[in-house]
Amino acid sequence: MPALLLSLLVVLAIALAIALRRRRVAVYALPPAAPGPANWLAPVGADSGTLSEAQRCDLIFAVATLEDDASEALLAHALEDPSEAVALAAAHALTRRRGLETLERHLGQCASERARALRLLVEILE
Amino acid sequence: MPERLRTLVVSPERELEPGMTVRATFTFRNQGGAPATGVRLRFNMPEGLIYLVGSGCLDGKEADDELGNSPLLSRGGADIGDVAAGEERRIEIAYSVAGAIENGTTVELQAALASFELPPVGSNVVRLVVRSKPQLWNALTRIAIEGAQDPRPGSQAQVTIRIHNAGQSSAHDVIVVAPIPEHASYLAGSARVNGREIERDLMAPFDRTHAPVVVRSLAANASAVVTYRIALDAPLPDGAQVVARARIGSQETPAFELEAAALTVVSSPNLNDERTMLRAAPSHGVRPGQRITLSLTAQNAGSATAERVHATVELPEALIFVRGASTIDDRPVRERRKETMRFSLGSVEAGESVTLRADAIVAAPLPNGTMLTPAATLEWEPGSPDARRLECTVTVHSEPDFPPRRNGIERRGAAAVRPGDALEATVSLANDGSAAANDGVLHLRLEPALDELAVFDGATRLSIEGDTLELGTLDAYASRKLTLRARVASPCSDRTELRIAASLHTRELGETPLREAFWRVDSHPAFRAESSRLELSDESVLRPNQLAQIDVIVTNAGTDTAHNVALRLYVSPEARLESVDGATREKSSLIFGELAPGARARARLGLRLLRSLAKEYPVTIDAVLTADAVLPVPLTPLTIATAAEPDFSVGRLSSRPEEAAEAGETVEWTLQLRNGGDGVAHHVAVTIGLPDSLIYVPNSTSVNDLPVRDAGALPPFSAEGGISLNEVDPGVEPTIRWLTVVHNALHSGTPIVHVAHVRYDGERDDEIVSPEIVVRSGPVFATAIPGLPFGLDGLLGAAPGSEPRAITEDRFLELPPATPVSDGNGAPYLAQLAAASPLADGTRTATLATFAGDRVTRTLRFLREARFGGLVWHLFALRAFLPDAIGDAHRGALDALRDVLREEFDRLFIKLRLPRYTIVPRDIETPSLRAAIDRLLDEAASARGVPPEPPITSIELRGSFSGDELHALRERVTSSELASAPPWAALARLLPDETAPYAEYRGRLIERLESFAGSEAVEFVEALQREQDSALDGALDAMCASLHAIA
Repeated sequence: MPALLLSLLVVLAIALAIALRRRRVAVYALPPAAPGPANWLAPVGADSGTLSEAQRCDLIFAVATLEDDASEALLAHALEDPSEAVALAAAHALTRRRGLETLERHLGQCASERARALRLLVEILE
Repeated sequence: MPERLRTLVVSPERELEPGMTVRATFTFRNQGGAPATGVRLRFNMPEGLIYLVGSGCLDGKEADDELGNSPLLSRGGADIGDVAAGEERRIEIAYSVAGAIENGTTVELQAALASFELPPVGSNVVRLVVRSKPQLWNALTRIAIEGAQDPRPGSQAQVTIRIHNAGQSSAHDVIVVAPIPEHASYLAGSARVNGREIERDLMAPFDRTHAPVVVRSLAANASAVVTYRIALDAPLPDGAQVVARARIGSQETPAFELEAAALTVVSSPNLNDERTMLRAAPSHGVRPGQRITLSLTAQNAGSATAERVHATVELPEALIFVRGASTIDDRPVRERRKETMRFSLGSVEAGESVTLRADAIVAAPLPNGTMLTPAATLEWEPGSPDARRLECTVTVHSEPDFPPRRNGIERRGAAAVRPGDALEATVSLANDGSAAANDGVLHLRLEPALDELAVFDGATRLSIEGDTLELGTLDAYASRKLTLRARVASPCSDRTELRIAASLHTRELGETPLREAFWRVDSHPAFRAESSRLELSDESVLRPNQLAQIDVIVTNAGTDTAHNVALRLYVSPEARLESVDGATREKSSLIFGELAPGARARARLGLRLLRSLAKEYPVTIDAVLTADAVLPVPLTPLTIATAAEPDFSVGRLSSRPEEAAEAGETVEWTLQLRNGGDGVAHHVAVTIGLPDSLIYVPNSTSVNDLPVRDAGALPPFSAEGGISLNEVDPGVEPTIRWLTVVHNALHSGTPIVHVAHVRYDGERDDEIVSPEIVVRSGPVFATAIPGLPFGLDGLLGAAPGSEPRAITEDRFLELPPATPVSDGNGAPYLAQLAAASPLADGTRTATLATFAGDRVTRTLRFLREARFGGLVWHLFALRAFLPDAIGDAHRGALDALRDVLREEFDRLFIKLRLPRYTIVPRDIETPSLRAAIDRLLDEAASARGVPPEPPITSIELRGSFSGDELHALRERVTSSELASAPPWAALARLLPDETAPYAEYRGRLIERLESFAGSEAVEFVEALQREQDSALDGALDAMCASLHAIA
């Protein structure tokens, strides 16, 4: 009987550890976005559908160095990219270029789990 | 006349028959006596008797005159002259009974005699009765039947019954029994007797009256003809006999039967008239592939049944027989494997017909107007010596056809094209019609934006005249595929719609549209680093406070007009953009506005170098070219070599006294250096050889009046390395003073020359030679040297100073810059000098990282999120724990590195959140990061002391490192890639190590990074993502835990 209780305790402990780990990981994991715009790169003659996530990230990093309104609008569109990393890159770029108002407006409109996680990750990178 | 004489004798006496000779003899006597004169005698001439010429004789003498007329029969009688009395006279005459005389006719003969003297007296009257009868049964009484030349069934025939009375008397109530012959029928109203209709008299149809009296009286030698017409039955077999029979009778003649007359019927089947025909439906305008029905109608127009009728259909090659679709009289024909086009139609009775229908398909192709002649051969029995061959004609209407489904122009490749791209379209031509299309011409209608049109048929290029292409004849069912190639003109506006329309013109069909191919031009302006660049207008190097002319060339390499073309410049903080020609400047951006495709805009920039730089710090200008609808294009950074270099070639080494010194005299040497160049001398080593003629006064060396510690027994400038000066800005004048004593053993006149070597930047070595001074010496006895607490034999001259020299403070102070220099484009320079404080160990430099506010929380959270696995976590730790201050170093390099690290590592942080992202060297190796690390390591290696205390309360993480070690590492970093361990191993030395967890982590991190010393960059990058060091990770966890505990 003691051996059985011990085994149960071990199993419960492992399950608890796994659950906690998953919970921790899930805290800042961006949930999948709702279907985003068909092509947020259309204004610059590109197709976001043809670019990989990494390429879209690179594109956002390049746009982030610009300070014109068009690029800020592009970054705002990129916030709706289905990829969490791309959205984070856009949010980060907006933060770095002091486009917080745009970012906050977007996050306020979304008010979703994704927006909450996005806000936390942006704060971490501050 | 009264019978007075009975002397007339007639033979025969009672009956006569036709043809008999009646002889009459009359004898008379003159009973008187007197002669009778003028006697005349006459016989009568009864009807039915005919005088036999020459038979009248008078007393045996012929009494006929010369003409054969007998006077005995004349009216006046024959003159016999005088008859004497008693004379007897005999007169004879003969008659012939007429051949035809009615039976019972009475013939009376009488002779009459007269004379002049006597009245006429008559003889006795002999009465004879004629006995005669009709004769119907004779050769002339017969029956005949006559028809056409070839009496055929259905034809008419006439039956003629001739009744001839060959007797001597009439036949009365001649009756004819003439039944209508078998296989024939009476034609009403056709009965005639001697040409006269008799049915009216009969009051009934002839064929319904049996034994009618056709002639009431038929005289002797007379004939009556009874005729009637009959129609032969049909059909009748060939050779059938139509027999006409009749029986004749009359009151006088018993009925007798005539010999029958027969008519042999000629009968045969006949499929040769026009009703037997072969027809095709439809027969005109039949198109290839169309199904036609051949109808063979066999009409037996003959009078006999056609037996075993066979039809053989013969089709020309262009007609394809459809098996299983044949019918005979609308009944399907049993399919046969052999002789599929031979049909047995069975027997066809006369007047009947049979229809055979067979279907055929008109083969394709066929030329238009082709006449097809299907045929059928009819055979039947009985015997048609030659089977009848029937033909009909089918006229084919054939024309080419280019259906849209298989004819058209079709784009190949994507619809989106770019200017300059080659387009390709396929023109498919397939003549699905059944006739060839002649004089084919392909018309192409192209947009003006398409050039270099070429049409290929396979590998053969076709000749185009204008927009037409001669194709010639396109055979039926032939297809051609033409490849059309063109090139989009460049430039070309975006979203221009390009169309190539094609149409085929043929003689038969006229114009046939072939649709059109469509493309949409995807044209954008584009800029490339190859054609848009920054270049130095001349090869001169940039010198401080000088203008460098930089040409900016922006070329729109795209195919559409670029709008709002701007170039954002990132100029090193050491330089300042002063002038712009050729573009509008907005802050750090150059606005070029619109730029047509292929156009080039040029601007010239004036760049001024603000602060002094060593050669290894070239000024870089990064530029990002932007325009509407264009991805930002970073241009190749322009690196401008700066010629800022220190120059200590001009210096002055002087002595006091200047020209001569007594032996034992103290000589004060002053080495005045000046950085006459325009660059900072980061490390200046001043070595001065001490000649044997001079004795150095210990601790007498000062730099800019600040005493410098001797190196053991040697003056600092004679020790290894000499006096080291760091960061000597241009214009700074270090002055080194020291004291020597002229060796008292020198002979007078001995020249003394001091030589100073100034080595800086590792390669320059300037030599500065002092003016020569001459020793003046004389005999000297023992004396004392000022400054020495004891006497010294052999001392020559007075002591050099009045106050004792002692090392009171162990200080090392960096020379302040002689002239203020700016830290950026106009930004004020942040002096660090006064804040520095020495460390107990002068070889180490302290670092300080301050964590104010919630930075600890954010840092720990960041490190938790950045734990992607692999060693990259520790690069993020470097980013997190990078110190905020390093000794007395400028904060500019540190802040710059922190900014760059944050920028680059934040990007790496984001990318690593991508699923399956693989780190590549360019994620780490960036020019800005390279420059920032080089600069920081250089400044950190030169830094000394401890950073000042932070102005606000915060958590302080302190550490220290060896400047010399860092200096040595810096050389390795310069030759290493950032995607390798050395740069990060060097930076790891800036981490805090004040407490055990910090030191533990720093030590393990340095050790781990150093372990990659011999590794390739790719291994290091691989380790960043893959390799885990649990001990190292644990050390970082412990450090974080410690920090968390403090916070």
